Amino acid sequence: MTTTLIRDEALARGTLGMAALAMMRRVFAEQLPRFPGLRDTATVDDFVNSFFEDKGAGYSNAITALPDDRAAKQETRKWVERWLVDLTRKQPWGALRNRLEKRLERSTLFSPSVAKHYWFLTGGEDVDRHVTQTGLREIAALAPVEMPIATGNASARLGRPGQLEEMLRRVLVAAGRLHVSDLTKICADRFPSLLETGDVLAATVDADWDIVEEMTPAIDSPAATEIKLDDEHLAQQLMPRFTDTERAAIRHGGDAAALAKDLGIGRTSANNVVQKLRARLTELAGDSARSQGVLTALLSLVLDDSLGVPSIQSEDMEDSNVV
Amino acid sequence: MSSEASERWIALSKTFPVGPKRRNGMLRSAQPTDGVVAGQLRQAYWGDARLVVLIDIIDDVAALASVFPACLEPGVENSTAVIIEGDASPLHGLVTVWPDSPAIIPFATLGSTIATISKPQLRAIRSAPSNDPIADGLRRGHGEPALESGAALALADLFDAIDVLQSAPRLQLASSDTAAAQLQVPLPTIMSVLQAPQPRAMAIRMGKEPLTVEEADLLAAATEVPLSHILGAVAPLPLDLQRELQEPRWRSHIRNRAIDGDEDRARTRLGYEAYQLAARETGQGRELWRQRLDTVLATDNR
Repeated sequence: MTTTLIRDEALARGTLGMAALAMMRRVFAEQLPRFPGLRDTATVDDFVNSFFEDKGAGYSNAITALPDDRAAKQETRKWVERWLVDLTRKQPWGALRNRLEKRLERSTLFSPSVAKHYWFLTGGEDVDRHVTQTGLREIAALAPVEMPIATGNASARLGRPGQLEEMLRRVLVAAGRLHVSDLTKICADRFPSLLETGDVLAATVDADWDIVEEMTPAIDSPAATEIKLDDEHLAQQLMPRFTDTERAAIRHGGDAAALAKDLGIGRTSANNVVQKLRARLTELAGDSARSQGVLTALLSLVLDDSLGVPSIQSEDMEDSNVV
Repeated sequence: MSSEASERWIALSKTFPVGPKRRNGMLRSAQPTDGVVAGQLRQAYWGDARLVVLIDIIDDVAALASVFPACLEPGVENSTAVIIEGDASPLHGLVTVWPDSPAIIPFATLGSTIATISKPQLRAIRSAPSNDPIADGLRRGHGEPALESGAALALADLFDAIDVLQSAPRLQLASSDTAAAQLQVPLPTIMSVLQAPQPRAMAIRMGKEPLTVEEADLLAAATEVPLSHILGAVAPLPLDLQRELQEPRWRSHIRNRAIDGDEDRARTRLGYEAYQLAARETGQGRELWRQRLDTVLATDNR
């Protein structure tokens, strides 16, 4: 039985009314438990009002346009989920931005622009160059930045000394100058793990950076070499970390259309899963060139996984190479 | 909710008026139309997919609209988006449109009208992809949202929804030839479901015996053949009635009458009830069907 209380009330009053408020509270009470980092920071009422303050103008019209209360609630769930996702990202985003600004300030490679919060290459021109966001993403992805695989060590490094600076340098060669927010976005997309848990960043100590910055940028320095895990070993190390959705994306070799069909989601959502996987792999493998090799190795691991499930009716158990 | 928080919410709510702005000095027709017109910002929905759309071009005969995806949520934008905000917006809040991604959707997916964009503004939006600089009152979206941000999720939802809407069932302008098409239901099924003796069942199968809407409904439910196919085999609805039924003005009634959300079936049923009403009357035309549909709906129990 569908009702239209929310819409009827809104059309009569010219603004959202109590029926909408009650529904919003129910949705927040339902959604907040999914975001453990936020749950205890404020009351449901506070969250409802903060959300309404941010999104109210569009939200009021969007909800009133829907055919019934059920659709209004479903749509509210989506808006609220997205707003909560953004809220969870704010703190690590801000931390990343601060971290970036410090690196930019401390490095002689970069200079602040006359335009506030913009940065350009020292000795270069303080102008915008025409370049696409996709282009910048690719440049950033090709620049090697080795992230150590998190071993529970709280002070996570953003690459070996100088690698992040080199990546930013290449980006600014193409873009001329960029706002620190755009640089933050490039880094956030390049290193997805940084926005995933605030804990990693919160634990990063400033003292660490002083030590790191004292070393001269050492891109080709023999001192920076380490035994690199080959693609197969790296793939094996990474395998346990992937979600079912990511495994499906690996299995389909990045084919968004096939993934969409398999998971029963839309094409664009599937494409986003693939993009996120690629970014994760680039981060874990060090750069996009290497991530291809790792993806290939992962593909064979995922396929082995799905084939190697022993069946209950297997006749020749004694012949199987059970590891 | 604490009374302080409630008061805050109510105060906020007052700052977000619902509905189009009252514009002074604009020439308006005496009555707003409930038909589908270019420039309308409408809610579209099918199944679980929901999307605000800007109507660009109408195909009145086929009941199809070429639309641009749109969004009312602030902050959801990318480099191909065009944003109408502030005084330029017909709403108390911005409207974001994607004129580079037109899609063709059936009228049957449309819902209520949210606001109307003026002709000059619609022209400016249409030409935005190829025009640099952009017209007054509009601005282009800022870049691509970060992966996994709320805006990225919203954009994915938006473009996935347009896929669903594009593949929603369209008006099948059945020709009179289909009346001769045999009913694809086995004879024993017809006999048992309708409790009909063999001769009648045979006649029904060959499209020579009329079926009441209730009987057709029983068969549809029992066989999973769409109601419109069953009735179409017996007697297709007049083309102008089929067309009238695609109009958004009937949709909420169709949805109220729908069983398990099957709008297609409810639409066909409504059509046949109006059709049966017309059995003894003369005259054709959309206006007449409109009156008959109203009559049928007036007798529905609320």
